[in-house]
Amino acid sequence: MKRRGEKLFIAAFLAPAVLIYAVFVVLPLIQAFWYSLFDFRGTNLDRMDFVGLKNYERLSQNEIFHRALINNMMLLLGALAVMMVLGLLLAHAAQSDKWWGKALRSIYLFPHIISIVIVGILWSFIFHPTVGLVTSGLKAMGVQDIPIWMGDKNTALPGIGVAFVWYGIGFVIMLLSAGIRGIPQDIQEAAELDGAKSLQKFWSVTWPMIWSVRRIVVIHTIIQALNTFALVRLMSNGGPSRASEVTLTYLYERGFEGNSFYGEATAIAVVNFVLVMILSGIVMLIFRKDPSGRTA
Amino acid sequence: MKIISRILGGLGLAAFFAIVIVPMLWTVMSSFKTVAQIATDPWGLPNDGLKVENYSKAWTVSGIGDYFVNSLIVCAGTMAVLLPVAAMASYVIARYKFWGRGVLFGGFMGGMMVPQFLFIVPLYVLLTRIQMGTGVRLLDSHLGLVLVYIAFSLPFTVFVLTGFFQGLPEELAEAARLDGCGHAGVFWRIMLPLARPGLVVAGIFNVIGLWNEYNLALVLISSKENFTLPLGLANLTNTLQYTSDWGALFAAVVIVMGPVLAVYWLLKEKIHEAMLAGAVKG
Amino acid sequence: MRMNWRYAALGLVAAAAVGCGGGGAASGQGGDEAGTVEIVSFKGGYGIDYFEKVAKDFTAETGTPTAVSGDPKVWEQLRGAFAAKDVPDVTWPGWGFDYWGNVYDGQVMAVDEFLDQPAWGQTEGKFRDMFDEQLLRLGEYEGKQYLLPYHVNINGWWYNKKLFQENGWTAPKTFEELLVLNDKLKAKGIAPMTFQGQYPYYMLYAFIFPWIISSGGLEAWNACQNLEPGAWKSPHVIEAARRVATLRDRGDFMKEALGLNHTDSQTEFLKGNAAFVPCGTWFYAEMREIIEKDSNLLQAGDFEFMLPPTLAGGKGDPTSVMVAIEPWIIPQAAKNPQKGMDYFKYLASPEVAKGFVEEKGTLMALKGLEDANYPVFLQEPARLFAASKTKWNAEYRLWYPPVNQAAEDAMTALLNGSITPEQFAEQCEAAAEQARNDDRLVKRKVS
Repeated sequence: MKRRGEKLFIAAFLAPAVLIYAVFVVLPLIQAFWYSLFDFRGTNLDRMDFVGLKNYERLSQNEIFHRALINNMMLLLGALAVMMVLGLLLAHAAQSDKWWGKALRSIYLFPHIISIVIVGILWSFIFHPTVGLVTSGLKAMGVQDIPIWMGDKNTALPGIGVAFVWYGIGFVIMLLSAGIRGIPQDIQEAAELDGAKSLQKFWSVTWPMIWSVRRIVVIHTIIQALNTFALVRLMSNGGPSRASEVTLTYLYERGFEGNSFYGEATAIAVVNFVLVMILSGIVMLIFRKDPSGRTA
Repeated sequence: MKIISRILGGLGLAAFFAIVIVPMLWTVMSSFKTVAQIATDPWGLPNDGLKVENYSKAWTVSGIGDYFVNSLIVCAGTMAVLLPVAAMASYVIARYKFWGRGVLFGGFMGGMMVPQFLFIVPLYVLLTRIQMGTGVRLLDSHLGLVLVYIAFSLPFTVFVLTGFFQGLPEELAEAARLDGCGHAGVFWRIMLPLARPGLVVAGIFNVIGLWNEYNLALVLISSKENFTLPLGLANLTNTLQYTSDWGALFAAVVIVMGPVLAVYWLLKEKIHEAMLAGAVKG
Repeated sequence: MRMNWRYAALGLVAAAAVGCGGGGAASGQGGDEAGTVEIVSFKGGYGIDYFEKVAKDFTAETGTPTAVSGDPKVWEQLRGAFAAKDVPDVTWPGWGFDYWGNVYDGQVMAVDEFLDQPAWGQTEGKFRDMFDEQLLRLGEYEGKQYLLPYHVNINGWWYNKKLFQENGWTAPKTFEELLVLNDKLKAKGIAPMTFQGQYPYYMLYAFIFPWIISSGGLEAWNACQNLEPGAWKSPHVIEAARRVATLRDRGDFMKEALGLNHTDSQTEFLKGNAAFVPCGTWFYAEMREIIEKDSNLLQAGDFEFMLPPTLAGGKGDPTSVMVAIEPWIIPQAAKNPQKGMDYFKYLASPEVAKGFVEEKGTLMALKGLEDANYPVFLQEPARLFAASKTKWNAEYRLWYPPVNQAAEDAMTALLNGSITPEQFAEQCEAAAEQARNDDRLVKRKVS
């Protein structure tokens, strides 16, 4: 009798969460894979033509989609390199108990905490070809031939990369700081007693000791870079001539603007997701073990 | 050598401060300027008095006030259901043994990994179908958005709260049970109040996330009158550029950015904690 | 046809003031009341106030209750509403709406039966006969009428008439005249031309397509629209692209233009920083607020509409005008289609339509409005429209969005100098080839 009451209680307490989660997360997740096998347009939800892998085949031949994937990868590699280096430097600086260390700790998450929409708007102001902060600043310095940033195929994606790093760096600093803080005091002191200079100490102690945090940073950046959407949509809308198109802005275009090719849009989402999984998996393999043999 | 690296370090640090702060400061400053000055003198201080009317214009004419209210409704609605529902589930997961517990918890945690865009088309179709079947309006409605937000916020919330409930001492529950409390009574009267710090962390974290949420809202909300702040703001860059009313646009940005930064400033430590926990798990 | 959103901001306040904030277009709330006609309209440069006013008169005259709503992105609401079959009785869904996709999927009602009824206030004759036949035909599919044209836009260039008059210049009729004039402009330090760099279709409509027609005649353009093999890389397309490249290489485009959106670039034109800007007849409605607020800008009457200069020796009719209809439709699932149509007939009746022309300043797809008083900025477009022997359009945009996307991408690339005119043509042809083989795209022919 008592057991039954408990079971009932467990079921009743779990039910609302499980129900909502099942209907609005689990079901659509399954449907996503399913829908990608159909020709299926938003103008008629009752007509779904099964086409097997045709949507994937179309994507494999679609040059715009290739461009978008390449742009995602460039964004990932560029941002990762910059954020790792800057993040480590700033995470070290943030350890300090001097005033600047404290100040740094207070502000570095600012960009990450405001809405990505604001980040996009802010940076499109900054890169605005006539009133923008950068353009007018360069003009004031007498620079000629200022690029038109989001209107130029060579500067659009790097410009978005800058905004991406601005938004994301705080989170990376936070992770790396936590990693550095987590290095046991005695190991650090031991290294110092050995007379290690700061750079040596970094390579022999800090870098290997924060391997698990580095792994989180890399995976986090993979997810963020492959899921970039709002920044591109607000800053360049993928232009000019697709120079800054990414997979998710292309998904939005195919699924929700003009022709609503729902099947193809979900196929793009699935490819994007699988790519995140594969890249994360590779990173997990590479970083599987503590390189120094210690366990952290 | 040491001096040089000191100087370089100092310069680098100063540059970082500038890069973080200047765009925000520039926004705040521009929000007090006339349109003419923004265009001709983007780096200067406001020279024509403080144009406070940029704010009233942004609030009323541009509809930021309405979007603000919409965002409040959506956030409050989500939290009102999310927190109790997640707390109940987390409590059971944390403190009871039952068949399928691991799978259930894993299922919730998995949700943190999956990007929103994977769901977006099926979700849109699902809401359409439910709306057709029941007549309840879910597309382009706050109700639909709230339901989706609750579902998408569950993984992180369950994660945080499960941790909290696991950490609570068993003795108190035992004592309450001896006093004749049932399972539900122990939860509502003893455990839930004890878990308040956890609820606060989860709540703040979720509210910040939802306050800023753009992707799902973009697809699920289409009427201006239902826009949340991020949607309204993105849309404003269109409207206000038409009128070239940059001042009001900057003011609108400050209105959206301000509360979040203020909350962050007050609760820095807690937010750091929650973010770190989420990142390490996710 | 990026209509302006600023009215929407004002409209929002107005909507709040009269307390109609709650409903929303797709709610079907209006339809719940017995017999209420639900009207949903795009809320762009022309607002929805006129449709609201007409709805009131319509109710007063017929006793049929009406509910009007609108939104600057009304097609997004309608996408959901159509999918959920919770639709208005008649709607102008705006330029972002997938008209043909909805027609193919049976979401739009064929209106031939209604068009054969008498027009508003008539007892005989056919409503059909009130329309410009050529424009009405744009709404046909497989012998049935689906789209109801109402007002139309024509596309061309606007030029700084004030500046031209001050210097004794006239608007260039041919490309050669244009080059001569551009040199004079540059000598004065004025950029000859700005454009809406973020929205490349403006330049397709203003440069490429008119010059394809000017070079190869309407057939050359219709071959492109019909996706005939090789049409997009015909000598005429290459020729048109070459002219753009010529202007580009001569530095006749404002340098920042590639990064500008429509309002920014049009404001540059109004400031006098560039002498030409491509745009349709909605130009004034879109810029009205800025123009009225700032007397330093060009005012109505200071700028004038013109057709793109023609290419010497081409086969095209020099009076060719690009026309775009802004059609209304009746959804298949409408609860009161006849009443929805009655509202549209009322809207299209000569007095009401004339009021729209005079209040909003637009051309119409309806006949019998010759005596309407056009505002000053519309007189020249009206004259050109009436005098035009060839009215053409860019229907392929809605038929084959991927081809349009590719053409837009190639346009930007051509303007920023990363591809040659030949490559421009090849990229468009490649997209056309893909579209030919894409069985999801219903194939159409210009009729």
